[in-house]
Amino acid sequence: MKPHFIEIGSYQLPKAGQNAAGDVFMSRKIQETDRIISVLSDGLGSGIKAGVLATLTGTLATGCIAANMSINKTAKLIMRSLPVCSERKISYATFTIVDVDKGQDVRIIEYDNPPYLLIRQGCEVEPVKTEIQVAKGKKIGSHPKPAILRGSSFKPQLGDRILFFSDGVSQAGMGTKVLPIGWGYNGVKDYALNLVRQNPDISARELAHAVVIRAAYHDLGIPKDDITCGVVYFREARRLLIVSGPPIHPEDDQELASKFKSFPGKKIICGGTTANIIARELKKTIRVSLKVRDLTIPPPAFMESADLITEGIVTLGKVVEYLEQDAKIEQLPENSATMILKHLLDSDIIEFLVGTKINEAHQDPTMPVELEIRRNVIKRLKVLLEENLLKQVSVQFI
Amino acid sequence: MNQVKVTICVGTACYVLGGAELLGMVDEMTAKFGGKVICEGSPCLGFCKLSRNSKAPFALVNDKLLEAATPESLLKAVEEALSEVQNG
Ligand code: FES
Repeated sequence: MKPHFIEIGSYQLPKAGQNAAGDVFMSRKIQETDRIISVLSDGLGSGIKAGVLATLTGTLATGCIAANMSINKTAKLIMRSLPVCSERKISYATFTIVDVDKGQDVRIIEYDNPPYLLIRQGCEVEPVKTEIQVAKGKKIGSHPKPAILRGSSFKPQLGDRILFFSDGVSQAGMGTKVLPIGWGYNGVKDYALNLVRQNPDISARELAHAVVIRAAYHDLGIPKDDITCGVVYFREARRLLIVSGPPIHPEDDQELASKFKSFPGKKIICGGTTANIIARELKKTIRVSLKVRDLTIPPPAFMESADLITEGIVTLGKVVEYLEQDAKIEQLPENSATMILKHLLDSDIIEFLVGTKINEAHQDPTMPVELEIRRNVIKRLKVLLEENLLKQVSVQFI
Repeated sequence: MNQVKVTICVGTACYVLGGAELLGMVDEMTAKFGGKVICEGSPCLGFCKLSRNSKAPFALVNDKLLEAATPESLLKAVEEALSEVQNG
């Protein structure tokens, strides 16, 4: 078991009038060496050209570190590789690279982005930063000054958040009456610290989103530059249990119910018969909600000690469909499938407990064989959750 | 107690065989009968597993079982039940 779960979230608004951002935020998880790398890079200027510079930087950084190159070497390589801007004769993309090794060692290297903010227990912590001088690769005209990179490292603690952003955030509002010199690092810091104090469980994505929206607000709703923010959050893993299908042997009903009851995390039952079994064993009452009525999906139900109850196959099939379409949850209709999806998105470790008893009702020749469908739907779900959403998923058949 | 309780099965078998349409009746019945009719949903009522010949979707009007229920048959059963409780 890893000491912490690492959640990464980001949000971005491109400069008004540009449909491509010149800032890039990228993350990569390397299973084999248990590393997570996040890069925020801001290419010179804005638009496509800046975006290419930033993407190149991000890809190089994640690629090199993934190949086990040290973060310092990587930074040097990037400085040497960036192409030169034909207009301004300088090669330039700023970056912040966050490398989390086995969840226990954080190394950060920064080049010309606003400094990152480390939030620990609602306060700012300032790690010691060392300067690294790197000669810039391309020499145009006179010798350029060496670039100064800042490196720092620390051991993350449970609850730590690393917040890093492009200068579109810290310079937001510049030139306005309220913030003539812009929001500033301290402004961003105070805002973020306040948010975390008010909402100690705020997710990485929510925090990044809030910072970016606030910056856009300082820009009077018209971003003057790309506004990008990333957050790396070390927290306890959120677990979700989904039970679907009755056990083969009715003797196992009780075990299923007690497993369900004692599970440390959120709990969903997909399937009426399964729900009835658990309700009977735990002596609880199931209430079907008739308020949520998307007529294509059976309505959800609720019961004490369960976070959600839904019908089985139709609903899970819909969840698979939503995931395959990469649907935005905010734009989906309110129904049981969306409710499951929301739980899936909010969880890190997802466990499926799948009963393999054949449902007599569905053996009607006009109905497809349910057991097979259930297995396939859950297999598909597992793949989608692992590959598209980087969740940790396990499936157990009972 | 002169209320009629309607229980609509929302289990898989019932739902895919037409139960969704029954749920569509909930608002209509509430508008028509007000507090006299109480509608509830239920996970699989178990009838779909009893015999090959019984037909989903199922609904209960008080204790009376409705097989192969349609919006029309449900409405009729509710009206009958209402007149029963009112007259008796
Ligand atoms: S699904 Fe309705 S009785 Fe089983």
